[in-house]
Amino acid sequence: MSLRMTISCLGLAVCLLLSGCSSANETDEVAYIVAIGVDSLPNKQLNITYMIAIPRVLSTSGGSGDVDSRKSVATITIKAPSLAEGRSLLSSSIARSPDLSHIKVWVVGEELAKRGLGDLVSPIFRFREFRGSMYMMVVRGTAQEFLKTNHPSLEVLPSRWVEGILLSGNETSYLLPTNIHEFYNRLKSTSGAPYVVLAGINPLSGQDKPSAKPTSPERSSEYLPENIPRTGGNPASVLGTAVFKRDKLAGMLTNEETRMVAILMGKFPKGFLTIADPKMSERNVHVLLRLGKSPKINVGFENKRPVINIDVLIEGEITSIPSGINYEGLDSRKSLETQVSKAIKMQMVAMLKHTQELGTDVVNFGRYYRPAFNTYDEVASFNWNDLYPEAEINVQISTKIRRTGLMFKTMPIRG
Amino acid sequence: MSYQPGRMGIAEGMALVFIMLFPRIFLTTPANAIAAVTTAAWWVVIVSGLPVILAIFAWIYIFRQTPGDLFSVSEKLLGRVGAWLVTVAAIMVFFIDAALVLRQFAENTLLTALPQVEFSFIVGWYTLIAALGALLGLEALARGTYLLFPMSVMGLILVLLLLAPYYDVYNLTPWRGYGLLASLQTGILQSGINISGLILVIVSPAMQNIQTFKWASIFGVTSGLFIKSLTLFIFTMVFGVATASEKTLPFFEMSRLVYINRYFQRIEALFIILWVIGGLLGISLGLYMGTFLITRLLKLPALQPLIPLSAYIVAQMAMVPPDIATVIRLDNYLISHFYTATLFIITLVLLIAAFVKSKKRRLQHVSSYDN
Amino acid sequence: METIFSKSFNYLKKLLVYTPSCTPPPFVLDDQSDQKQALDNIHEKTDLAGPTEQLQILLRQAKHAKDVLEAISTNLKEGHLINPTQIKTLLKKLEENKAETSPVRLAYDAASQPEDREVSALLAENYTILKKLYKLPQNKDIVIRNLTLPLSPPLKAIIVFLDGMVDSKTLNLAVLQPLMFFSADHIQVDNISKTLTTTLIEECLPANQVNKAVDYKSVQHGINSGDTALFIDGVPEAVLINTKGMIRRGVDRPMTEQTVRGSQAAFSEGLRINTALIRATLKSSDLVTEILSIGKRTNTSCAIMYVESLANPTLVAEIRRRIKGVTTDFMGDIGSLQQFIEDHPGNLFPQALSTERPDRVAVHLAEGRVAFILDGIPFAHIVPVSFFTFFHSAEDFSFKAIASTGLRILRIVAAFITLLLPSLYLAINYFHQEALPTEITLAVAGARERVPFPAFIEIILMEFSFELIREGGLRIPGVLGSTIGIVGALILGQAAVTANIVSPIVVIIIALAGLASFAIPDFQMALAFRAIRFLFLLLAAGLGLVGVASGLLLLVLLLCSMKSFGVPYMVPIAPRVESNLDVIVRGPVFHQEKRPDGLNAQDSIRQPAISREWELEKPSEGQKKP
Repeated sequence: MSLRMTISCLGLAVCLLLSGCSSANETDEVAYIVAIGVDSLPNKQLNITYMIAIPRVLSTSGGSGDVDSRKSVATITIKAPSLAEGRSLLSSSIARSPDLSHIKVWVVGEELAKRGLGDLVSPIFRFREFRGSMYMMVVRGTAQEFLKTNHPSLEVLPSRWVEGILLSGNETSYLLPTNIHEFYNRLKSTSGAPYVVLAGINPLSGQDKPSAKPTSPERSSEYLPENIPRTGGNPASVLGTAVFKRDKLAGMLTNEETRMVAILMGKFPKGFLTIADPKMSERNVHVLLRLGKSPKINVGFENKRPVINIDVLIEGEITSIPSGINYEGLDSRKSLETQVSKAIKMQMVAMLKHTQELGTDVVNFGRYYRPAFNTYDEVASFNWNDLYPEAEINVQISTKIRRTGLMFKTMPIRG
Repeated sequence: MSYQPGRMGIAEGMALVFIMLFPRIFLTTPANAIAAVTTAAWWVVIVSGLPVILAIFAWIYIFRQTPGDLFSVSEKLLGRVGAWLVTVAAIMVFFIDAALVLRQFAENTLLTALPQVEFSFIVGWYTLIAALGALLGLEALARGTYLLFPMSVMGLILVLLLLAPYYDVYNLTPWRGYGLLASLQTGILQSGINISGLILVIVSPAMQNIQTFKWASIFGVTSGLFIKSLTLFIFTMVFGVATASEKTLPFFEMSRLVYINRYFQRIEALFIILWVIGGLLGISLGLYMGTFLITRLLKLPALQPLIPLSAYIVAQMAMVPPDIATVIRLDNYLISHFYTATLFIITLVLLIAAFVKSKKRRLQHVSSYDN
Repeated sequence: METIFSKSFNYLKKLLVYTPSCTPPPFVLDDQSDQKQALDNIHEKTDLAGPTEQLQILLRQAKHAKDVLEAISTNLKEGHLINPTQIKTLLKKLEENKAETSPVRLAYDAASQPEDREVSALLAENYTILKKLYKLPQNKDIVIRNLTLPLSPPLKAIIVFLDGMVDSKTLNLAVLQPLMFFSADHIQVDNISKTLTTTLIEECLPANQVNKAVDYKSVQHGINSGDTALFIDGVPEAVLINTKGMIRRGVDRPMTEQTVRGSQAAFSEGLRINTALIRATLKSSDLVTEILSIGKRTNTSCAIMYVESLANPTLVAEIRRRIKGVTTDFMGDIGSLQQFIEDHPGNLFPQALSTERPDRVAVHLAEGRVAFILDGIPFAHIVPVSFFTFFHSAEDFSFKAIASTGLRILRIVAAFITLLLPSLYLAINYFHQEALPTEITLAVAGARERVPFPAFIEIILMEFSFELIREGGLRIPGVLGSTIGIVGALILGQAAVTANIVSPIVVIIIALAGLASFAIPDFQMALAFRAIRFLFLLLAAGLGLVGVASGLLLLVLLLCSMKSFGVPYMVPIAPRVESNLDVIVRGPVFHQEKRPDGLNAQDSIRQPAISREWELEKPSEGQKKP
């Protein structure tokens, strides 16, 4: 009896080991890809750029002190008709098998986005190596250029930089971090337009090329990512949103418009605003804003035309009053609040007009109307995206200044 | 028989019932449910559990009249032929269920955990572990399940809660789905999926008394339904109807999506332990129950020598369908036709037979007074 | 004739010619001795042995009769006896001895082995039997001393004892002194044999335990344990006097279960010392000690201790039945006794709690468990136990509830770590590299780039060396022990990393897993976890997390199917019974109201619901209400 047991146990162990350890890969047989960029080429080809991390540089016994971000990744570009073919060609170009599970970000070139992303996104959700929590970006330019010039000065891995910048988008809400899951959901859902965070390659020349000049009372211009006037730092910059109609790129929203979208989605934890001083219009007041409570949005229909009522409460904290006027007091505060509400309302109306022109409902007002339906068929057959451009939108912004910072009044400068 | 009669308590019974309902959450069932009834999936699940709860009450009545397990009750009420038919149907239900769940779990493993492992090897491995579990006996299975399932359930709930940043309540509207009547209809038709909740009927002499049977079954079925409903609720909220109905592996996709910060992401590998344990326990118990019914049917003295054979049969049955799409379709078809029919027919027939018998007994009792 | 030529020739021959060295043929234990033994047995059973023995017995009886006749003849002067009473007693004794020479008895005695015989009334007969039993004169341990009891008439007697096992002082003062000096005052003149031993025992022998024995089995048992046997001429009984006084180690500190608080006494080798230590902690009249004897050649005493009003009687009966049902030759270790009587001897997990602290034994006895101790082993085994008992340490109740609960949780986590950490590392390394954050993955991958071995071999190498260090550390003499530990672990590990044989993370993992196994209080449980860890490594390397999950499942199912003396191993979780706040989370001492449910003790209430009764009343010097 025990002889039988022993033989069967040994047989099992042999089977287990002879099964070839079923796809066990040693860590030095695997190439960790941290970012993929896809560009379009004529005759239906794709230009796929892979950013592969070099582990030796990051190991404890290997990298001693000064590790440059240039030396921590290797960027390889391959022309292939599809993602699968590109992966095969990649594995024959490097000595290890590619591992796509550590991909942080997908970068899509502008051309490809304009042509349509439907073909690109479907293999992402079917093949097990890709995951929905990967970030996605559309680049003004080519993805290859973006990935090649991405050299962060503070981080070792460029992918770490991307993750960091997307997660820190909630510092200003000038960008909305998007992952493929949300993009895909918007593609397939009954209302709402897909949107992707926008990136660009800054020439680092310091030239100022705003998309729109500031209109009073706001003081800051609107930018698209590669137009921010700066020199030094990483040429790659991420700002704004690219909006899609169905799966094709329809337009781009600047940083302020993105902030408005964020407010309407309820995702505005903080952001600075510079406005003209209500009582002394040549000076500025700086306010730090956040969303007071989730925006109240009502969607109704009036003779076949959608009517959207928006009510937003913004809370603010004064961070700078150069003019010294006592806005902390009761009446002056009201005027400051109205000024802020005016500025925000202006920006919001501009954003809504822009999206209505593009025909893309980025904020997804359509879902607020869903509870009015009875069954799902009605929802599925209801075409909100076509009705959106004719919608009448009433915006109501109220601001409350809650805090005043470390000073509660300003004494005038003497002398 | 080799199990100790009359010792299992409520906790173990509840664990047994729960673990038969639990593994399907990790397979394609949630996606199928959403494809069938869209936004109403989360409450249709509860509706499809109601016939099983009614069946439990029916069985309590039957047991009050004729105590014993499935085979002896049907023998007393329906005679030898009826008993044979009922038991053979139950054996088929358990074996086919075990085979299909085994196949789907093996495909699941190939898709998620071990992409390049040999298919027949992983089916053989799962069958081996399930057979070893069944060899250890019902007591060990019940107690082990009772020990392990709180952790599995907590792991599942953890994943569901960690997806909080992705919730969108409007994905659940309109809550009627395709219409109230249509949803209810689909719910009742799909109630066969919970037929394994009646597992305690088969080993009812092992329970301490009818109260134990009642509370164990009811608790087990309701907690299973609650978990399923919660999973579907969150699944619909996170993915929305359109995307959700496409997914092959809802739980895997949900655990993949979890992204809290730079360090807490990509944790789906750790939940492999969860569904492997849940699936293996379900398969093992189904195997044990089927073999148990065979021994009762053929009046064999021992259960354990039959387990390797039935494990082999189940493994071969699992490898019969040619591809995963056929398996999913077959599973759906069998649930809505074969399992539901078995559930309703067997319960109703036995209930009527018990009622008739008790009436006869009362009449006899009355007539004996007259004499 | 020795000439110079022959001498030189012999010398040259010795020098030059090769002669094989004359070593004696080697000693080989052949199988032939078995055959020879069989032959001896057959030889003994031949017809001539029986009658020879009978003749020898008769000869000895005849010699005794001759002595009596001589005594009579010396007494006889001028036709009448000088001491008629003396002669009368002698003749009476001879009459009684006749029973021994009846043909049936003679045949039976002649045919049976010495140890099956009964004590004879004839001193010479007893002396012969003792010589055969104890292999005199080769065996120098046994001492047979002749003495004469100063009764009238003086009686010959012998005492038999084993040198070294008896306490000489007790023997001299409590046995020899009263017998040789004071017995004359108590014994009547006619000294009838029937009451002689009783009178001797009750009035002359001031030893504290005295027994009578009629057959040689009990005599042997007594002499082998250190009693002194007293054979009196004409009395077919032996008196066994307790003079046990072998030198034993005293009560020492515990070697393996050291605690910060709690008593520092540990068991010693003597059975009576151990039972006394337990009794000193649990001063209850209900505490029962049953003593059984195991082993045909060793006759080791095994003491079963339980509290009679608490322990389940079926449990006690079952333990008694199992220990009595063990037939073996040599029983020297309580571990082997445990394997003889436990339910699953092939299973790694211990089914009895082995402890060397009497206070722990007392705690478990008071809960309704049963302990058994073996003579010569300073450990006690407590049954029945559940899996969670092995994670309780001796001083758990000494600390407050929260601290103790934290420590218990730490131990359970340590058990998981020692079981799973290396396998999880292997599984994630091989199959699921996405589970770690990118920086850590790249750091691990970078560190492993220089290592020539696959991860599996690395881990096996380090595990093996860790186990070597641990096992070797057990046998190093105490002075060098800690030094070698530090040298082995630190320097070897560091050198291995620097030489790029292993990667640093593997060293950390193995060290953590090894240290975690030391946190498990019971040695056998830690051993079980350590052994199973290797199986998990194999599963993880072959099938990744699926393998680990299947292994974990099978382990849990195996544990749930085990029983320890009738109590399921995973009670109170697996069969769900009322747990008394003592499983993992430890409740406060004043909330432990019931005994563990799984034991089905006779009295399940330990303390009332409010055991801090002083809280109900006001203190005598309390504050007045403000």
